Amino acid sequence: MHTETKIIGRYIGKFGELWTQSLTDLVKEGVAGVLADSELDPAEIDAIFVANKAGGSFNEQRHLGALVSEQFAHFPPAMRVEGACASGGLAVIAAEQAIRSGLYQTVLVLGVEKMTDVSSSETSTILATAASRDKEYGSTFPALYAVLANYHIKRYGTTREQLSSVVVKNHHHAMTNPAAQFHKEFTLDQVGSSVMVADPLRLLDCSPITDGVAAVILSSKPSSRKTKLLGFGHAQDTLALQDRQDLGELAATRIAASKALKMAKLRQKDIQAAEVHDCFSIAEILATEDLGFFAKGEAASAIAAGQATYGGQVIINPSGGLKACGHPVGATGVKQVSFLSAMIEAGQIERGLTHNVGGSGATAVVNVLGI
Amino acid sequence: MKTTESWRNNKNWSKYLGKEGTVISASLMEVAASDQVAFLPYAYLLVDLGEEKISLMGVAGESFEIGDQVKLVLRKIKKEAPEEVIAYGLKAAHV
Repeated sequence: MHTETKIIGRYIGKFGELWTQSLTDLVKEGVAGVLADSELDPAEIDAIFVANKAGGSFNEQRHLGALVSEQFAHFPPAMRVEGACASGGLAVIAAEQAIRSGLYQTVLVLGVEKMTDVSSSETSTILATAASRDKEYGSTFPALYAVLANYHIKRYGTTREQLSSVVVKNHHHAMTNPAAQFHKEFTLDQVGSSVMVADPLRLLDCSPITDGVAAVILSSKPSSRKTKLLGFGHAQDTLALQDRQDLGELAATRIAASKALKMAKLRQKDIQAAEVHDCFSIAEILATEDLGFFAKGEAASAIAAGQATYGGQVIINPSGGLKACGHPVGATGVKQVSFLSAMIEAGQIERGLTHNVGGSGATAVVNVLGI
Repeated sequence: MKTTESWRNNKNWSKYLGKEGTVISASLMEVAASDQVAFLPYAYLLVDLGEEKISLMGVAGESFEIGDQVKLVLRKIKKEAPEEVIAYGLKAAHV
């Protein structure tokens, strides 16, 4: 009978443009890293869930379940989970559901993406496959989030400086994260004068193209590790923005957060730190409103006022987020869980929340961690 | 966009061509996927047609604001395919 699931191993590889490493190299690094942290006998891994968005397009390599499984002498059963940029968060809850079902006791979740072997325009094309092919042809993800940003600006008066404050904060947070892609601080003016991508989103409003791997091992077996998975929530919305009820929110985030916090028997005020899906500056503003940390229309001013950093109401994206830590798409949701688990094990926080989004909000996954 | 995909989409042209609507939100793009780079800068828009909402590219070089009135027109929507098929589709233009 399942009583609790703990995170008994974690690993985050260096994020960045990793010229010397292939997709397979990243997989090997992630497996070795998480096994070393857990001090498990590899034979104790009952199953594997692999999070990856587009290895078939970026690297012409599919069948990633088998690629990860073959790193083990006993070839544990493995499958790939894909939900665009939410693949990592989905893989974590798929593993948790398998453990709760009683089928497995100890499960490896590995998220990986190798994005930098293709040109930036090819990358845009590949990433755009997470939008609706029938309804959103010609768009890009910066354009879709820019449409959301302009709607938010018109409705709530969100300013250029407030968008920039998200970026400044997350780059500051990344300075203390050795795995982060960027260790460089920016000023509000530098963000606001960077090259335009899709008005109003500029280059420094956008998360980067990143190679990287992250992994966690979940187990229902007794462990001296502190971090428990207290709750999870998963919700969907329409694939295309045009079919949404309200462009001022990502409803799937709101619903997933409600489910996860209810399962964890916690409220927003109990959460001390959150890794949220800041693929663009506007995305963190939407996320912190839809997760319930700030009232609708008030997150931008709260973040600009220092309420989303150390000493504020809640620490948002202590890793630097997707923006500064980097966004190797399939690895991101796993990295979020691994990073907050490390903070809990280090005694920095007792309760944290992760938020991973697929597409422009069609998929949302929230995990709640705590002691 | 593959030739067959373009052909399937063509069947919707008569339903939308010439319709007018109001811009719900829009963004002028400076970066695009490889098939649309030649049209930059172009806008991406959400348009309320009354009975339904639609999202689509704006005609090349035009920018749009929330509340603008637009009509749906036929324009080239991607670079020429290796099959030498020129793909046309719906775009928004100012009324």
